[in-house]
Amino acid sequence: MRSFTRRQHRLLGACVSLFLLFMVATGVLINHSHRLGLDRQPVESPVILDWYGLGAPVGTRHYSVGAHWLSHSGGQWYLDGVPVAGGDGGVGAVAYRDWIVMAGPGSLLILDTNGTLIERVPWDDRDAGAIDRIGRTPPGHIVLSTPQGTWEGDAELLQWTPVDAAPTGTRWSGALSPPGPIEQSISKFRRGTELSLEQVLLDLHSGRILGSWGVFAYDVLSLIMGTLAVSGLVLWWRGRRNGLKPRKGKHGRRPR
Amino acid sequence: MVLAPSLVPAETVYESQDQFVSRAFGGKPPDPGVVWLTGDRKTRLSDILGHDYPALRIRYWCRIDRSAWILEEVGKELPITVGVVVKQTWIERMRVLVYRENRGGEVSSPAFTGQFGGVGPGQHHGLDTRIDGITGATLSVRALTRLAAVALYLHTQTDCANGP
Repeated sequence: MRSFTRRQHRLLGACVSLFLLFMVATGVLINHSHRLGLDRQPVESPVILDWYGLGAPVGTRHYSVGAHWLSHSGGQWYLDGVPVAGGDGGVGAVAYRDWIVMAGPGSLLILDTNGTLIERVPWDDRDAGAIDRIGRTPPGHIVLSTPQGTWEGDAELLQWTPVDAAPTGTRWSGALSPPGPIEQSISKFRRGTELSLEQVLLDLHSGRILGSWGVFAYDVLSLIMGTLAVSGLVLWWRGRRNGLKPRKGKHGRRPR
Repeated sequence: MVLAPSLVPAETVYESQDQFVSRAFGGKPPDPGVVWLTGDRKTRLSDILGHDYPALRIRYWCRIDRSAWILEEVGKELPITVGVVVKQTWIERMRVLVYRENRGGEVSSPAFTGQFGGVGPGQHHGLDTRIDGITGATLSVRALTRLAAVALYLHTQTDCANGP
């Protein structure tokens, strides 16, 4: 029985030693993740991102504005594939003077051509309803279409006046297919910001990186470690008991 | 695959921009104007905020000696939208319009924002009165304090600073 327990103890110890070292390493890193910047470090590995199911973004809309491409994806506007400002949705984008005006259902964003935000104009508390189109009239004014009507902006886009209808020849912004590099840049940014290294470490540490089966596997390994602790105590107790067998000396005392 | 749930910040809208401005001017707001943040203005705002303001122009409403401003500043991670009314050289009213952070929303309470009433420019983080903090909302308190100083400065850049 004794040899069986010791053999089992050694075998189980060898099996879980790597797991234990792995848990120690991930645990230490998680404890210091903020100091090490791991919570701000995006994971860019396509293999890991694919493993998490973070595929290419869907629902991205692209608009051609002069020499630029404006794209809206996942609550973010991109100028030529580079993120420039958050936005509630991507209804359209047009050039105006030396600005770019982007419309979402509940806000307008005005950028300069360098991508610097000039102003964010909320639209959500007007009675006009959500913006569903943005366009330019032949004279060059910006017009917005909502379910309640059409609105025309003043020269500085500070005030919006309801008009009967958009003038004939108004060019409404419409989504187009962009060049490949624009889509790739947005996809890389979106995938790269959705998962931090800290999250991967947490999932490695808990077993969730392998889904539900990973958690069960970690449970088993944890039980093995618990068994090791118990068998170690048993072995230690037996060894101590054997080592304390009374071996009487000359005067009937245990030799030191 | 089981993924850890993502934390989606809760956005609390206390008052819309239109409602705030309308209330500030008794239901009949004046036409808006804009202050462009260029040159010295940009530098001054950067000094107050500790960083550039995230827009090149700020819209305001001005009548006689009162101006209303809608400003944004990040508390910890997300912007807090604040409405400020400045009269002559002091703050008449301050209100959190939209709070987006997960913690620190106590700064939206009238008990806190009421401290800014009657405050003018000075040496306590740009104000002449020390603003009492809120435990657990330190960054949001600082953000609102900075925005109060910004509004007082921007008011001096408008016709409203010249009074009636």
